[in-house]
Parts: sequence; structure tokens; C-alpha cells
Amino acid sequence: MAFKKLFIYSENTGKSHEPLDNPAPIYHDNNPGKNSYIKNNICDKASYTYTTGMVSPKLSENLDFIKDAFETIKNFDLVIREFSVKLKNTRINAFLIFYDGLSNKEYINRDILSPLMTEGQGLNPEGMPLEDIIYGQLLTQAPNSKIEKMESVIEAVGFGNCAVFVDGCSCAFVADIKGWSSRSVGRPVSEAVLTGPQEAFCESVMPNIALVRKILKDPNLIAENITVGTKSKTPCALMYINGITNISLVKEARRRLKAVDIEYVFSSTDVEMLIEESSLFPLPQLLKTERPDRAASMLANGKVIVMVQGSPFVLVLPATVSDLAETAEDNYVRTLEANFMRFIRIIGCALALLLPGCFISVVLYHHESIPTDLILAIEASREQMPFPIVLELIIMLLAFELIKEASIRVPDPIGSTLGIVGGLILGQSAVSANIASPLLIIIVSISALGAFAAPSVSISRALSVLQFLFIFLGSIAGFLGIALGIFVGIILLSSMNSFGVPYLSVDNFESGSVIIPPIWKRERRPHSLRTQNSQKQPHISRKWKGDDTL
Amino acid sequence: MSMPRSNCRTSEIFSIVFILLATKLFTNQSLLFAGISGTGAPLSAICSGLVALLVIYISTRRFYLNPDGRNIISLTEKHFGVFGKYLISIILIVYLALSSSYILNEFSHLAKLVAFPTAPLWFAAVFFVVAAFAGASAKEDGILRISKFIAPFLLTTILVLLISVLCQSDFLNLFPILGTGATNTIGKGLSGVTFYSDIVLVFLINPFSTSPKTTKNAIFTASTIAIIINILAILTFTAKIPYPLSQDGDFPMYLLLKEVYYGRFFQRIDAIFLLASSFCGMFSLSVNFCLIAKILAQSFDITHRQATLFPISATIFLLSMGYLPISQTTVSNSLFPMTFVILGIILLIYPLTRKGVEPSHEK
Repeated sequence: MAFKKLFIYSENTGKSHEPLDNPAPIYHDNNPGKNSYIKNNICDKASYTYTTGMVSPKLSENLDFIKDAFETIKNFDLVIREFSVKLKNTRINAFLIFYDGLSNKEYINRDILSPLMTEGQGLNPEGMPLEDIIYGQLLTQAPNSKIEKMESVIEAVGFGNCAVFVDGCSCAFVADIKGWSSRSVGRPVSEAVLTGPQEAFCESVMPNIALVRKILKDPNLIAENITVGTKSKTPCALMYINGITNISLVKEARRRLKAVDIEYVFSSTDVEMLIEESSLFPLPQLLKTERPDRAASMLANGKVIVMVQGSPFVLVLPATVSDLAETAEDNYVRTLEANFMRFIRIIGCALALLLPGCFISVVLYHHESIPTDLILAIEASREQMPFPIVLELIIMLLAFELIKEASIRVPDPIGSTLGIVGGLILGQSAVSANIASPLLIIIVSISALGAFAAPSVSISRALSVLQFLFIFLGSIAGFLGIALGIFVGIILLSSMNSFGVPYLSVDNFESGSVIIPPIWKRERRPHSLRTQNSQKQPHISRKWKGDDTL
Repeated sequence: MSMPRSNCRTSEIFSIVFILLATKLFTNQSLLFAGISGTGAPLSAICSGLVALLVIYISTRRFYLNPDGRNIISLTEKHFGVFGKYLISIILIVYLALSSSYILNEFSHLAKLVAFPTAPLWFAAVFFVVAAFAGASAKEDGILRISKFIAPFLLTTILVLLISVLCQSDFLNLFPILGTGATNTIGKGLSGVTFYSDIVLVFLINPFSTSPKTTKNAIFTASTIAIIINILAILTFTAKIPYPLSQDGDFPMYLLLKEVYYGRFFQRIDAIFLLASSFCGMFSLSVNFCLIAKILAQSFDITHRQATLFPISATIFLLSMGYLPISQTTVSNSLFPMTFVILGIILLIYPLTRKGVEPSHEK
């Protein structure tokens, strides 16, 4: 096979140029899907494959196209295996392609090459189309499909499938024999619970879907495949329960996912930022979970989940504040305990956000609000301090953030050292060095504990950032500044929607409410979701009560 | 999911009306009763409240039918043409601007009094203007939803305050019950009806109502609760602080707060009160700013909200701080007649719209 034209790569400019002797563009912008894979122009431009973008009955044309599209000159991991299909007394040329490492070679040998090369000898092909013989009688691998569009074949191979081209067939046989190495189902890390299931999502979409199906066992559970990323072709699964989830919600989620025009998508965070309403909004607008049981519970409530290949966190949409106040543990402890812990978490979040700002306000502007003895004690403890109290507070909070950030990066064996260093900075040493007063250390510590009590890491981080804003407001105008911050914050929260559902929706006494009812009282799905079937269970679900015959 | 919210829920209407009417309690306007009637202030407040309630009852029960989702501006345009539309729009904008200026001035004074006595007034005002700008810049949904959070907060704060002071009150201070005389208490005291002037804003909120029938009930119930709260506050204030007032010029609610004692830790809670009062002031200003922007968009096709709000905020700020040649006395005095002008227009227009109301609109 001869190379007809090659691009010239300029080392100086880093740009590729048109072929020197052929200034005509190789692919046309008005029809990029047809032949956008042609790069080195090694195939015949007049060929059927090139002009139509479909698989050609001529094997050589397909081979040229594939070599060009996959740049086999440079790509060493693409395997092209040419062989002959034996049918009775005839031999038909064929080749298969797959990526080494992405596909399972054992399956290729056993289920594709072996049947095609040997088992056709006993068949009587007369009167039957070649495609049907190969597809119906020789290829034993399932799932298996016939694809006519070359673009689809290339995408399938890129995703770990094996494509078989046979001379005389105007389609490629694509076998799903993905064989890449991936992590198996493990334990949840960020949503660990004491008494609940210990399974977590992994990085592959299909096992993740299976994990959810295993819990719900509902034939109405739909998993739609949507590809995101024009080059990465990252498979995403849009999951919802037909007959429960609001159709408008599903349509909107589908529309947003399909309308994403980006080259590469690497994780669910990328997808989250691409489909959420506002990227500058500090709080998460979609819920992320790594727990299949939690995702299943959300689906049962009428929500939609989005799984992204390569990410162990699935996106749950829409998310409201009552969802953000929930943790996985809530479903596995007794109602009273769950409500108490939720109350503590909300108090913790409020402390993390407002306590430093309120402390500054009281000390600078509203001395009269606290007992005289206490304010005298505060002033006495600050006598030796060289810094103004605002700066003192900011230094200590930044030191804490520094320790927090370092603790994520530091390797486990030296992790304990960080604890000692942190204890020195945020402890007696800081007080002895007259950098911080003891009361300030307590304020910073309570604020930090409050942030750690937040139901998710993203909320905790958002609180850590926003507390600086409240410190600023409190330092310039006391409680008036704090009031301004809270008012504007609530206005922003109030005007925010997550997929059409108000962010501040609080569906009391329903599933997903601020107050968690006992399971027999969770009769209705959240009103804000406008589900197709709002009734989750009958009014009396514990029918054994009052009826001894059951 | 495309679920744009273009309608108020009944609970939101209730909250907005309650906040708008109860907000003035934090201003110096509630001293009006004590100034005119002395110890008869509660009686004056009751009489004014009853008159206000009657006006609200008539204007909501009889005329607040919202047959085709129109507000006062579109109805005026329908019956009196473009000229009528411009006229009512200008009247409403002027009213809203004056009302905003009054609220801004009063709340800035209150904040300055509580938090930073030595700072200039404009410093406190800036915070309210920023909040109002942000509130009005957001979608209407934001204002509607936040009202549901502020209303219970406000109600709780006022009730806790009144109950806290009640134990220290001397009800002998309420006598003589007619105060400075029957003429003052029942006659001049009726001018206190201006306390509830912001009810006219309801006729701008009108088209967002999803259910006119329940909306009418919500408006009336919210007004009644707000009026009762105001009467109770004035009653408590008169019982706690004997007439003649030794601290004229201070805000009555602030004076009451200074008397609250919850034990050694919470020696003074006026700073915390500042949070509640600030929320109310910021919310009322946001509603006013938002309505001005909406009127400008509806009548004059000025649709870019942020661009509209900036000059509005600046003008109201300057007006409130006395940088424009209109005094705050003129502003507060003009609110009363303007309320009646707007109510008069409503009484004139709404009977014309009563024909053809379909039962289907009455959910």
C-alpha cells in the first residue's frame, strides 16, 4: 500500500499544513462525519468508503480507510489481523481490528478467529447471504452487532470492541469483548456508613448500572446511553424509572447531555459542570454519590441519575437543599437518631459559615451583646497580640486550610507528622507565640468541626470559602454586614433552580425532607419533583397493625 | 426541565403582604400614634387598623378579581389608553421611590444607632441599597421564595420580643385610655392608617397570582395578622414606656429591645434584633426596586434589569440621604395622599373589569 499524500509537520510552528502538491482540503467541513477520520490520506479518495463514510464491500478499501483513520503508522497498540474465512471450499479474505489492552484476546481467539477460520467448513452457504452466515452462524460472541457506518465502527473499536471486516460484506461485525483492566466493586470511601451496605460504584458504567439494577429490580428502570465528548466519546448512562420520574426532567437532562459540545470528558465532575445551571454558584447543584443504594433510593424518589464512564461518582439530579442535608447514614439508623444527627449537621454548617464572622462582629461592633466579663476576658487575652483581630482570625483559618490541604496530599506513612505539626500551629504554640488568642483558637476549631460535619465534601469546601466572605462583611459592618451576606445568599439560593426545581424546595414530611419521617410515613415522593406517580406507598403500609389475620 | 415560575403561590402572597405591612413597625412611623394620642396610642392604633382593614377588605374582596391576569397598569391602559398607562406608571414609580427612600432612611438610621453610632448615615444605607439591588436583580422567584423564610422569622422575632417585654410592662401606663383627648385619639389618630400604605403594592403583584380567590383570603389574613401585631406592639410599647416619651426620636422597637433581659449572658439583644430588622428592610427595598423595574419594563419597554436598577438605586440612595432637594419630611408626608390617589385609581378601574369573569379562573 502506497502513501499517496502525507501532511508535512512543521517543527517550528507546530502546525500541520496541507499536502504540498495537493492544496485541496482532505475533509469537508460541511460533512465532517463522513470522512473526518481521514488524516494521512493514504486511501483512495474515490473509494466507496471515503465518499460515503460507509463500510465498503471491497475489503481493501476498508483496510485502507482503517489504517488511515487509526494512523497505524504511529499507533503501535492497534492490532490489525488479516485472515481468511473458510466457507465450505472457498476462502474469503477478512481482517479484524482491536486495541491491544482494551479488548480481551482470549475471547478474540476463541469466539471470533477460531469459528471464522475453521467452523465454516461444514456449513452449506448456498442461498444465504454471506453477512447472515457470519453473523448468525459463525460469530458466537454476544453481544454482537452489524455496523455499516465507518464512524460507528471506529468509535466501537476505540471503546474496546473488536471489528471484523469480511470481503463482500458491506458491514462490519462488531463484537463486545472489552477487556481492559478496571477496579472491581469496592467499599465507599467518602460516604462510609456503619450499618449500611458496603458497596461502592466503580469506574465502569456497565457494572455500575448493574449495581443499581440489582437493588431496584424494576423493569421500568431505564438506562439510556448518551455519549459525551466529540473526541473522547465518553459513554454516559442516563437512568430513571419510567412511570415515576417527571418526563420533563428526563427530557431536560437528556437535552443538556446531548447538547454538550466538548472534545474530552474525563469525569463526572466535568459533566456536572457542563450541565449545571451556574458554575459560579458556590454550592453543588447536582448531588454526587458513590453509593449504589443511595442512587437507587434517589431513583425511587423520582430523580434522574447520570453515570459517566471513568468516574465512580454518579450524578443525581435535581438536587435541593434538603438533599444536600442528607447523608447515606440517615437511611440506616433509627428515625430519632437520624433527625438529631441531621440537626447537628445543619448547626455545624451554620457555625462553620457564620461563627468567625459573628465573632468578629461582636468583638468589633457589638460588645454589649455578650457579658462584660467575657468581653473583658477577650480583650485581656488579646493584650499581647500584635495583629488586629481580623488578621489574627484570617491567619489561623488559613493555617487550618493549609493543614487540611496538606493532609490530603501527604503520603500515609508520614500522615501522623502532619497531625503533630497541625497541633502545634493550631494549639498552645500559637498562643505562646502571641499569634492567636486562646478564644480565637476555639472559634477556629469549632468552625472547622462544623465544616467537617457537613454532609458532603463539596459543601464543606464551599463553607470554608464563604466563611471568609462573612468575616469580611462582619469586620466592616458587624451584624448589618452579616445580615447583608445572609440576605444576598438566600436570595441567590432562592432564585437558583436545579433542573427546573427550586433549590430551596423543602418537602416536609416526605421522602427527602428536612425532617426525616419513619419509613412507614414516607408515603409520597417529593412534591417539587412533580413525579408521574407521587404516591410511594399506601397510607397504611404496616398492614399487620390492626389486622391480625395478615 | 422548563418550569418557569410566573405565578405567586398563596403562601408567598401571604408572606409578602405580611412583611410589607409589618416592616414599618421597625421604623419611627409607629411613634406617630404615641405622638398624637399619648396614652391613647393603642386605641388610635386599633381605630387606624380597623379603617385599614376595611379599605383592604373592600379593595380585595370587591375588586381584586384578576379576571385575565392583568395588573393596575394594563387595566388602566385598556380603559384609558397609553396616556392612562403612563400616568399610573409614573404615579406608582414616584410612590415606590418615595416609599423606598423613606424605608432606606429609617432603616439606615436604625442600623447606625445599633451598630456604628459614629459612622456616617450613608455607610449603613449602602448595605441596604446593595442588598436591594441584589434582591431585585435576581429573578422574581428569589424574592417570592425568600419571603416564605423571612415572614415566619419576622413573626417569631416580634412575638418573642413582645412576650419578653410583657412581664416588665405596667398596664397602668395605658390610662387614661383616650390619651390626649377623643378628638386626637380617634380623629387625628386615624391618619395612622398611612402605616399600612404599602398594601397598594399588592395590586402590582396581582397578575402573578395563581388562584385569585385564595389570594384574596391570603391578603386579608396576612393584613389582619400584621395589623394585630402592630397593635400589640404599640400596646406593649405604651405600657412599657410611659408617656410623655423621654426618648423621642428613638425607634420604639429598639427602645423595647433595650429593656429585654434574658439573664447574664444575653445582656442586650438589640444587635441580634438588627439582623431581623435588616432582613425586613432589605426585603421591602428589594420588592420596591423590583416593582419599579417591572413597571419600567411594562410601561416604557426598559427591559434590561441591571441597567435599570443601577440608576434607580442611585436615585433612591441620594433621595434618602438628603442629597436631592426633597426633605425626608416631604417624602413621608407625601406617602399618605399618594396612597389614597392609587387606591382611588384602583377603585375607579377595577369595577370596569368585573364583567366576564369565568368560573374556571376561580380555583
